Amino acid sequence: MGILIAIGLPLLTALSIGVFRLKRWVFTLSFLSALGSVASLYTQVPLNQVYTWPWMPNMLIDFSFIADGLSLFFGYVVSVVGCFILFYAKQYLPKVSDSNPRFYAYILLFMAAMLGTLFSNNIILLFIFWELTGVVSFLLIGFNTNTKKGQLGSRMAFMVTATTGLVMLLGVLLLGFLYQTFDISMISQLPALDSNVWTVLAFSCILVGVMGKSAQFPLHFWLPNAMAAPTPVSAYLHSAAMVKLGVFLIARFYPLLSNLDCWYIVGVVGLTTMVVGAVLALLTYDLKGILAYTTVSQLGYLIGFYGLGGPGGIEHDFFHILNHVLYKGSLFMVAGIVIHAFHTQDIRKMGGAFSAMPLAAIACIISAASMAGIPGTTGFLSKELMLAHMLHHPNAPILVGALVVSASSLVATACRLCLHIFSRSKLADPVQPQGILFQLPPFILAIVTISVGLFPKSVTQWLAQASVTGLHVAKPHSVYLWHGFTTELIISVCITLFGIIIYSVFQTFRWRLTLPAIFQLDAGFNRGVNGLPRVSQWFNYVCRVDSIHAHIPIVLVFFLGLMATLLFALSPTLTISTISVVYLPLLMITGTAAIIISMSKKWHIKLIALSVVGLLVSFTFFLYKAPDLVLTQLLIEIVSLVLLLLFFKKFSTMKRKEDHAIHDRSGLSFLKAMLSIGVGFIVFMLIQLVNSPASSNPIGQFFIENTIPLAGGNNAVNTILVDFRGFDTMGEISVLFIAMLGVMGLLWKKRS
Amino acid sequence: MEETIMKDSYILRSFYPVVFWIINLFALFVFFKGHNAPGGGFIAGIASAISLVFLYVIEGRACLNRIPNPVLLAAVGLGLAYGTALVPTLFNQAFLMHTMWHLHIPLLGDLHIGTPALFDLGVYFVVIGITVGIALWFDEASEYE
Repeated sequence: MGILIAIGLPLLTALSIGVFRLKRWVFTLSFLSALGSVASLYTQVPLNQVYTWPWMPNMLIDFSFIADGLSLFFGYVVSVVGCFILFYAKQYLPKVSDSNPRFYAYILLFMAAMLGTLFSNNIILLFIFWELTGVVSFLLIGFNTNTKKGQLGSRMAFMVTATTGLVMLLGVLLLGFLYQTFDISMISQLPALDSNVWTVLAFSCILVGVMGKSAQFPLHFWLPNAMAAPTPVSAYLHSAAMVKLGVFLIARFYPLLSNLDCWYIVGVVGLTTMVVGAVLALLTYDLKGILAYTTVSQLGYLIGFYGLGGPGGIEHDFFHILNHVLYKGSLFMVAGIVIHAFHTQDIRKMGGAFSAMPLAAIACIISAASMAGIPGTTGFLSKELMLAHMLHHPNAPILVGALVVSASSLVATACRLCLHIFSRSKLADPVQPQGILFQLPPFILAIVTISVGLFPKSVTQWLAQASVTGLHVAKPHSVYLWHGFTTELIISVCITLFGIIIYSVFQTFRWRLTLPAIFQLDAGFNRGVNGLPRVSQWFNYVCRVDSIHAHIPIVLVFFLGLMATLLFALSPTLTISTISVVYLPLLMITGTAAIIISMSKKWHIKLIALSVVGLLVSFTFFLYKAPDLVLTQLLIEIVSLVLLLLFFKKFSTMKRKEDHAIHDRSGLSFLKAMLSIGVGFIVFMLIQLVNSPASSNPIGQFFIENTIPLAGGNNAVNTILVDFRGFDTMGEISVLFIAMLGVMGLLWKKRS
Repeated sequence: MEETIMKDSYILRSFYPVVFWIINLFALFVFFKGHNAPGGGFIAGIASAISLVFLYVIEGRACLNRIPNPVLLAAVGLGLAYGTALVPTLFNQAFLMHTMWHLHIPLLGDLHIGTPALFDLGVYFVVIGITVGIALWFDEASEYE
């Protein structure tokens, strides 16, 4: 039940803030609810126990939850960081603002969605929560709804993550159909998959979802744009929690998919992203943009780590994740404080902030050191473990090369962050001092970073308890601060040196380099999205929906082509039925009246001829002994006559000469005549087809026999309408209603 | 004098109140006969709609206060039909499952009444609403041409 409380508590709190429009005590309520979530995860979550409530059992979809080591680890990260973020947001947000309760509600909703994704035991349920996180992310990036940056950023983030999420759904559905179950606990006990078309397809789809959610190259561009969000959101969603979902999913499917031949692509994608993100971080001057690119790089690092693993399993992946959460959360929070103090995000306009925010400065230095991998921090241990892992890999030179490039770029970025914000003081204005409570959350995270970095043993042992069969090796190596003079240490020293060299090179260029145009994928994306309306405009133009005279022939030609093909395919079963001579005069009169309608130029003659056709058709129904149809047809004739009269009320006084000029061009008239004849012929043939004995279906007999026992009525026509085929009738009246709304819209436009 | 579609015709004006009720009685008859003989909600709806459209033709806008709003009518009908379809699911029965009551009433004989009649009533309202609505809007729109 602990899982349910953990998910339900924030969810219910968020909903009640929204529904009851709470104004006071919102922060306290949210914070307590987040703490309750952490506590319920900590106290009472039995591992690997499944809780299931049926939802759509015949589609194999249930409300099913499970906690294993993987999801519990991520759950702790999400809920604990959530508490920190809530506390930090209290200081960050304006003291009095109407939108604050909305903010806390979104954060709690996000927390619930994240925990739901992590603990779902059903893939479809996982997907629903997964997309919910995307929706909340959209709401939070655009939280400042009046800024252009917020609008564009939220649109981009949502489109990328939601679209790739749909691709992922395709992948998990494929996986589900392969195994006839969506139950994760059952899927994870299956043997690893072999490579074939379907498994590779499922793998690729899932990988696309992961790349979108975790901002992997070339879909990384939404993350820097998502920085339009308030800083607590960036720290939580776009660094610690939501973007880690891709990592989580890769870990979740690791036991199942890591045996595939193409699994190495995960590594390629991840490590490419790692290098690209780290290099791009050097080329930007927006403080949060820099952090976003380093996040992209680090996400690539985490995903690439899984990609390097073999079928046997991996170790210490949780440690890498924990390392990133600690230092990046702290750095983002510091960035928020700095932005508050300087009122700008441009790192070139900052400096000399140490005395105004000593705790934040210390936190920033420790966290940046962790990012750079300086001994004594978790970052150092993480990098050593990664290097050791890479050196044992067959492709060691390439991998280590990539790591050296990205890690030394990160060293340079770390130097830049610390030195440019806190030491340089060319600025005239004194920096505004910031409150202690504001600086406390990043400081605590930094303290944790350094204490875990110095004494890693207890934490790694604790993480090892959360190991998952199939994902992790049975006996992980212990982590020590001092490994002796190993190759890894030498490479680490080189990385630090390279980083300092890169920093000084960029310093001489005054960081003037900007992003090359080829990497500005976000601008291209926006151009594409803005171009979409033009595509549909072009399509409308080609189909000529602006002119009914031009549009209807297009539709009819298509209809004729389709139906003629169908008829041709079914022609073997077609038999032309003969009719008795009695009908011949009737048909001739009907035909003559129809020709008069199309030939006559006077509207009242047209109208009379139309009525003649209608009445004769109802007479034909009468001859075929269909009283329901006769009644309906007669009434319809009356209604349409009245409607036409209403419509033609002022027609006689209108000038119809221009109209005639369009209609009476001989070529067009010929085309229209051919189309009319064609449609008439096709409909005639279709009726013949329906009446052909070979295709006649005895279903009519069923209705006649069962109308009394099953529907309690003698009139089979009516019982079909309201009972046997009531669902069809429901659809029809819905369509009628929609058509009425359409007519209303069209005609009311003319009134104004 | 407000413009009406037909030039003011005394005969039509005097007889229509009677004709109106005759048409609607016919509609009622057709509606209830529907389950066992030709008829039903759709046909009855068209008949009632004709009576209302004629009322409009004779009286012009003046009658609009007296007849129900067509959109509302159609919406109520749609709601009735969907409601009839959905209610059985609350009692663990299939969507659209009908329920019939067979009553024996002295003097009148056996009466069979069931939820399909309610569903048909929904169809009836939708058809009236749509037909009357479209006729009204056509007329209003053509006046502003």
